[in-house]
Amino acid sequence: MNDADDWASLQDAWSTTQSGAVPDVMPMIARARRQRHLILLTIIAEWAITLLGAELMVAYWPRAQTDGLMLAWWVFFGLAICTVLVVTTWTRLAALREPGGTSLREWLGLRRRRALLGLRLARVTRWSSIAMLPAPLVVLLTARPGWTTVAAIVGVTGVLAGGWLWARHRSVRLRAELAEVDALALEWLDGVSG
Amino acid sequence: MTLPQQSSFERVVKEYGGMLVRFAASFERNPHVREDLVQDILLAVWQALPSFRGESSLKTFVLGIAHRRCASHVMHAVARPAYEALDEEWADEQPGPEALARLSQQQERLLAAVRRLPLGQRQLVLLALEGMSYEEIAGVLGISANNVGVRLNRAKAALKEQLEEA
Repeated sequence: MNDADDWASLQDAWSTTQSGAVPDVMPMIARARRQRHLILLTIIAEWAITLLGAELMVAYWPRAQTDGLMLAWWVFFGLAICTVLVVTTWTRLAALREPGGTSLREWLGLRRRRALLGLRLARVTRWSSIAMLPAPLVVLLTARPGWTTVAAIVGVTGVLAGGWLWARHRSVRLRAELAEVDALALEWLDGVSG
Repeated sequence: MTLPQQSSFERVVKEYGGMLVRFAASFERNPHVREDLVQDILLAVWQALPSFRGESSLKTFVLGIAHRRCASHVMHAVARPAYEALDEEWADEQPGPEALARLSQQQERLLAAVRRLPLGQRQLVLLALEGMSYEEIAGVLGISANNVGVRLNRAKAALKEQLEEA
């Protein structure tokens, strides 16, 4: 293939190859545009509900139990909600944009960094869920008697179990993503993704 | 999407649609999955177009996106065990009358030879066949132009072998 003429004739043949018709993508683009609007509206609604919740929390703060361990629980709860909200918003906004001018190596590096960041976040969530395991017991000991205590214990246990399960599921997915990125770098770039 | 972006996208589909189909055909033999792949590439191009600032040519920009999508598609396909069986069942390794009418013998041999190349070499040959320079290929892959030269020579030699065997 060192012969330039041979290569030029191959290029000519290649450039006129029609391997099939270009699909009509306009309906898909219209759908994607609607989805984008829906995602943006969802993000706005989520932040609005969170801000409303924060406002209510501030307004009713004197009525809540905030002594000792309960204060730690409220801080953990607030931070967990903020982290989840920021991460989901960031993930959704990132999914709406395709990186334009990046090379394959940079793209793989970006995917790797994102996966590592997500993996760290999942680890923090898992370990903090384990650290907060006594929280339902604390609620049981400190909450006012009645059905609200049961609801609070179920709620707290649900948040902790949900966080732990989410972290476990996400860790598995992100480890697979990392393996995929490394395999891609090895196969396509003869080396690490950088 | 604003009106200029819409017209840019229509221009991409018109000017580079055929190139994207060829590109996808080199990585995916199943015509149904290939159509999905082309749609996926075009959707990614649509999402990326607002960030196009003209640092490279529009063709290089579009090919870069197509290249990343195809790389991702191949790796996902490898990770799906059931996929291979489906692909073999539907594979158009032996093109039908319609495909034969479309492709000349040389084009058919070339496409088959390109598909038999290892992925690392296939991507280089494809980008070179689309008329990209060493520097442009280096930009798309993120490797040096010298590295492109060395690897492309190897890839061309492998393509020659495949063409001679066919």
